[in-house]
Amino acid sequence: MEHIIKTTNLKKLYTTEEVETTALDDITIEIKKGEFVAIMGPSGCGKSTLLNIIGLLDNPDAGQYHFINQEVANFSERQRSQLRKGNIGFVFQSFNLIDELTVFENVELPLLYLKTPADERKRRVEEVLTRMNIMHRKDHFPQQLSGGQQQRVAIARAIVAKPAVILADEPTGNLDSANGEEVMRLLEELNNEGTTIVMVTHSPHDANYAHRIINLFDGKVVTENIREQFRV
Amino acid sequence: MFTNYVKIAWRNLWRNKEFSLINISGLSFGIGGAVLILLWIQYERSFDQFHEKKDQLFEVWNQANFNGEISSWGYTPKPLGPVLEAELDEVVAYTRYQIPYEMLLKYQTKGINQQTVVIDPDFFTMFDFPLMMGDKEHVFTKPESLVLTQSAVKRLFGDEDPIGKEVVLENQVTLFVTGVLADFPWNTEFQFDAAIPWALYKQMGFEDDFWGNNSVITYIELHPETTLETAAANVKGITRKFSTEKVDLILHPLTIAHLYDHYDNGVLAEGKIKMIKLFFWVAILIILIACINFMNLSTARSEKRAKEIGIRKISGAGRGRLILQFIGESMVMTFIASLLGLLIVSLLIPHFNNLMGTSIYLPFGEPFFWLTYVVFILLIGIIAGSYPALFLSSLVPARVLKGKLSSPKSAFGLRKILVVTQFTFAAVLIAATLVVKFQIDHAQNRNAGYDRDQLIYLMISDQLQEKYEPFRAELLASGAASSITRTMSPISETWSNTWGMSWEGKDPEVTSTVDRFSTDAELVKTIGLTIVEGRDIDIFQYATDSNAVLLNQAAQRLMNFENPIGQLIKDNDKDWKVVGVVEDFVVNSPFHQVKPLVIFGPDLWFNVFHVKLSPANTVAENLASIEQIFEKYSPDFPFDYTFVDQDYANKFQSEQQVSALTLWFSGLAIVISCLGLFGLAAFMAEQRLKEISIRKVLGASSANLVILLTSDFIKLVLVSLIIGIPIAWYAMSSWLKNYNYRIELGLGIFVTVALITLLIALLTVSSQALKAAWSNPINALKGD
Repeated sequence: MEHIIKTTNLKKLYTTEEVETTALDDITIEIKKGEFVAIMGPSGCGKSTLLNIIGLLDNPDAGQYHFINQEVANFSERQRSQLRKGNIGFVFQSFNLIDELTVFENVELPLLYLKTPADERKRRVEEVLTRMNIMHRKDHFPQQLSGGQQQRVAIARAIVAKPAVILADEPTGNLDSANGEEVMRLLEELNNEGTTIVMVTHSPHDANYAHRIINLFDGKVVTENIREQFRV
Repeated sequence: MFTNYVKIAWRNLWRNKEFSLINISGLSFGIGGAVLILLWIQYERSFDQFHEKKDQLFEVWNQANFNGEISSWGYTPKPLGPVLEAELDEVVAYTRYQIPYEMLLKYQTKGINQQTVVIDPDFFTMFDFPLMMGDKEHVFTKPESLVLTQSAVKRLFGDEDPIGKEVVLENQVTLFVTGVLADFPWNTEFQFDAAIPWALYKQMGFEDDFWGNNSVITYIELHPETTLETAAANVKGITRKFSTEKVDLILHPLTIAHLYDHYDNGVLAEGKIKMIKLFFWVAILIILIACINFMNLSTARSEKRAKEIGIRKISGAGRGRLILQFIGESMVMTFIASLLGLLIVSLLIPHFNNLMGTSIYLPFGEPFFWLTYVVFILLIGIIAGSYPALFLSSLVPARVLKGKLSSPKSAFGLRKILVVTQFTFAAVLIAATLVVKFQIDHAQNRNAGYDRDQLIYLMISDQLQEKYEPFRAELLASGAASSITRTMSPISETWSNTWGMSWEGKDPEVTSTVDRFSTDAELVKTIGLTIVEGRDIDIFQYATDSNAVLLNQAAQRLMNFENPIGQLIKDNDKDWKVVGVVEDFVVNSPFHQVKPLVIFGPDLWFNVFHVKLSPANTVAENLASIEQIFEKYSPDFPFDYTFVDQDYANKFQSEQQVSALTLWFSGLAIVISCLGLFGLAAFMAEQRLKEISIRKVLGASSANLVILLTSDFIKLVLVSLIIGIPIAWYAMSSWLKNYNYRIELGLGIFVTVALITLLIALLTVSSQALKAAWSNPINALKGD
């Protein structure tokens, strides 16, 4: 299968006033279309930095990054923003919903920036809200929801524009086990429908949903395990 | 998308009520203050701009070189107008304008004093003052014509048709009403109740063809195809051609006459326009201060907005979209503020008009006003929203979503600059307010050199002129007056001056202007002057005093008389003998040095008499007795008296207006600045709550914490003072140069400015600091 994400010798340095820290060191990975990949590793190993670069939120300092057959490592913020739109959905540990907007309005946001017509927006937002089983809360504000509900809204927002890739940064980190389980099942379902998923996690349990696990340590890929049933 | 922006703007505004309130009220005050100033500027600029031929209309001014200095003045000789029209093809019309003077108009038994002007017939065709009755070409065909304004008609005739009615002028001539002028709009320099033709004036024997007597304003209309350069060149030498006067003529455009009323050494100088320009900048400053508040508070809140920005960015928002969103938010705030601003303006306008003697109004019915206002508001919205938009939209989503703000330090750096800018403005305005106030107090506390208390003056009517001596005797006998003196003009002004006076030892090469005044007797006693040498003029005691003069000390110095008594002075080909010297006293402006003054004996003319009321009775009793005697001798003229102390107080009017305006607007600027500082301090205290709590747990006292929190701001205010005080010193020194009699700008004023500014800032900031210092540390630390 063709790859959707391919990095070659990615490097990322963080420089503070006195010290230079290597966050990513020669990362070379490939993620195929439709894959579900988990990135694991201890705190500070560079998981989130890698996810940010994959998610086009940040540029690498060196190396190449192919995203959907384009070299994007040197894209400007404007180009990255254009490419992100409709191609990548994000799910965060802390949900990151806008407090001033209702559930419906939060989910609608990516479609607004894609200039989707209003009736189409309404249809699609209601569709995903129904699918996430949160439709009855569409006029509530985020603070009025439980953590699990908030994360379901966040997932609804991530998928409403039908992106090719969903990037999830510890999506269950702030949830209890029952809600966490539900979120993971939703992600699995989306993956089964063909969406590529890249997930950063600390949890071996969550990682079990992935086809493949990439382990990072001190900014380097140490092992890549392909789970038994997904070996070709 | 747009609705989404408005929605989130509105919800943000509602959720952060305190910040919104500070932001919106700051902007409202700013907009209100600026709109008020701009309306006033518009008012002053609109004077006499409505005449269709305004670009062809000019005042003719004189210009002459006195001892190397070019003097320019707008009064001209009476023969000038007709000569200009006869001599120059480019002059198609002229009117002389004898400035308004109270004259008695009597219809049947009803007599009223009305401000009356003497003009030529072309007046009605040159200027666009509509006639409600009569026709422009023929109202002044006959000398016995009278044109009244609508209001004057109402006063004299009530609802009767005035045309053709007989009106007696000053008990001397019978005139016929030939026209009715619409009441004058507020934005014209021409304001009078009645007009009589020059031809009548001539018949009454008031015309002269003396080119040295500058007593009327001459307006001319130029041919539409004449260039100003040609006309000016041809007009220039006319006086020299027709007289021996060494005077040139210049053309002063009507369109600028209201704003530019004098020349400095031959160069057009800024009159009222100077104040207008100054306050234009004040308006800009006030708006900028309000915008700075907005910027400061919005960026200070960036941490709270950061998450939203990150989410919008990962949801596909480009920077442009976000900039639009934040500009949109500032527009929503500005829009609300603009409505409140209009409310503030409409509340202030009556007080402003009262203070300034203006008639400004909010032109709600004019589309142009709304168009300008919308552009103005959009501009403010963009300025206020620009920096927050650029700053907030630049936040990096990968960081802000992790709760890390990209660079709060750099934003604080800019906020510091903005606070310093605001307080620099505030310090300059505080200094200006104090200096203007001290200068006015200084002039008000100046010893005028005479006693204004219980002193009144009245005009001498023709009836009184004839029977003055018995009138005077009866008045003194009545016990209502302690003394009485006839003079040329009220004691608070001079009506005549000359550079033609000569005396022994005068250098013929030097031209010196001397003011003229006159008295018959008891001037020193009535006005309360101090005799330095010699004695007062008294025609009733010394028959030869008809050609006696008194000098003030400035005149004595000018004439360089060591023994002035008995010296001879020549004026108008007549010899006058000095009988006394009086101490200098303030006749004209209390802001200037006393000028040389010669007080002539009764051979010169009288227009006014002054009465010192007797201390034995109440003022009301005295006035009642005087009125009785006045009506006996002058039955046809109304008893109109003026208190000299009020007249004197009026001399400060224009300075007091400046003072009040500076006070208003510096107050406004300070309030807005403080609102901003208050908001910023509240925000900083909130931001540092955790730090404060940790310090508190470690043993810091409330006092330590208040000092910690306020010292940052106090440092900023100190920087503002270091920048602001030199600016204020420079600006106020140049303002004071307008006055001869002025205060010195000492260190004391600036120390006061510094203390006031610091105190204001401290009071503003410390309440927030105290609130933070007194909070329970556990609340801030628990959530971490």
